[in-house]
Amino acid sequence: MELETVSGIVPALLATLGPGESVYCENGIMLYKDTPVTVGRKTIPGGGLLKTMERTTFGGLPFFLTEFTGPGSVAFSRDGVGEIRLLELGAGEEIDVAEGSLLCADARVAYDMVYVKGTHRPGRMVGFWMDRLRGPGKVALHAHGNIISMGLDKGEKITADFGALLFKSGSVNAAAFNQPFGGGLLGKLESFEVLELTGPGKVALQSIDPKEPHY
Amino acid sequence: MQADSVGGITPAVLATLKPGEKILAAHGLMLFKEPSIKVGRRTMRQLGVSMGTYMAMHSRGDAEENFFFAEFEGPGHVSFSRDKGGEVRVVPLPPGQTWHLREGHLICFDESIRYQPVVVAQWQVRDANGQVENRYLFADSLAGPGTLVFQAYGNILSFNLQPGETIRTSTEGFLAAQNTVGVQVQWQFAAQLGTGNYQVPVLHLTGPGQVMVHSGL
Repeated sequence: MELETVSGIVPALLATLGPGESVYCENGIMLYKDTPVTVGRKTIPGGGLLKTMERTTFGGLPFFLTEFTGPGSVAFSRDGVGEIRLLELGAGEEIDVAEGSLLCADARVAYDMVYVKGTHRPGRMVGFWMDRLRGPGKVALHAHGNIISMGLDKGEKITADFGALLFKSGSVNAAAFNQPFGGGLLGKLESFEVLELTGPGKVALQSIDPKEPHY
Repeated sequence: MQADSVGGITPAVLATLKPGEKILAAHGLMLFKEPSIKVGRRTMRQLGVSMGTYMAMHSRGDAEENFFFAEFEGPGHVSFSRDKGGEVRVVPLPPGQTWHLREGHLICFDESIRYQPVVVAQWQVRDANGQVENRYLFADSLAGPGTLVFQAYGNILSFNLQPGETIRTSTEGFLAAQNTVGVQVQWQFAAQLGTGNYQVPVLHLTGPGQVMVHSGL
């Protein structure tokens, strides 16, 4: 299987599949496919009905994934200005991807979801879900805007906006907290919700918050 | 402040702050920061914006005035993004130089810069019912010394106008100008519609001074 970026302002991804090779993605992001490529459904295991309702209604995760099986080519696009990042995950390597950012993944890549708790206050009362992908295999991600990548050492921290996170290594801990505006009661009352990311591992941020209106 | 633009189409700004160095930014633009960066708040009153000025802006209705700015104190790195496509410009302002920057484009500025919200131009239009409506071009007035960072929607076209030299731009095309540049709204014939003329407001920018126009809306 080959994954190739069709670069430009709104980039697309072209996946060339050998016979029997498969990729999966969220439903609705296919641009086109060759006729021999067959389409199937990949159900998402785990959690039961209530958990599924929670992550699909409160969160933006899909009910099921769409699977494309070769031979042939299939192209995907997230319909947004940005940058595509291709990753080759090693065996057992885990990454957590922001919802709405996965373009496609090799069928060998295990799919799961991970929940990041909110701060339990208005604005970020509930947390959010991320796609958890475990290698080996290839993964393609769409960043909204440009990508800023960094590596965090063990215990090293950065504070990031919720919408800025594109992906992180599974070993990077993400925790929501209220960032106060200076000291005092007023500063604490006027705090805003941010994510604290603690290493070790890789972090990639995107320059557009996909939840904000943009063009 | 050392400010660098990161990325191309939708750039972010990476500000590097020395110990004790402070910058101000509109709230909600932060992408990430290092833990060594302290976050505070600077109200309009602390910036020297009088309540009268603030209420006058507010009464005009359309202004997206800031209630306060977020303050970031070094040492460390902090990054900002306006979540939109367009060119980022880092402008070092010498002492006394003042720029008027269209509202909604400011990213961050050194605390040494003096801030004031202003109305650069105003004009009147008639709505579908024939009622007269006031329209305003709101801007952030920023006086040096210090470094100013802002983002255009699209690409920036810069002009250095000589005394008396004039360029015309659409009201949406205006991005920034030095305060020495005169700004005037004039109506220009655009089309003959039935028995009436369709006219559009056009900004006349008259030098001396620098002007920036942007290609997006």
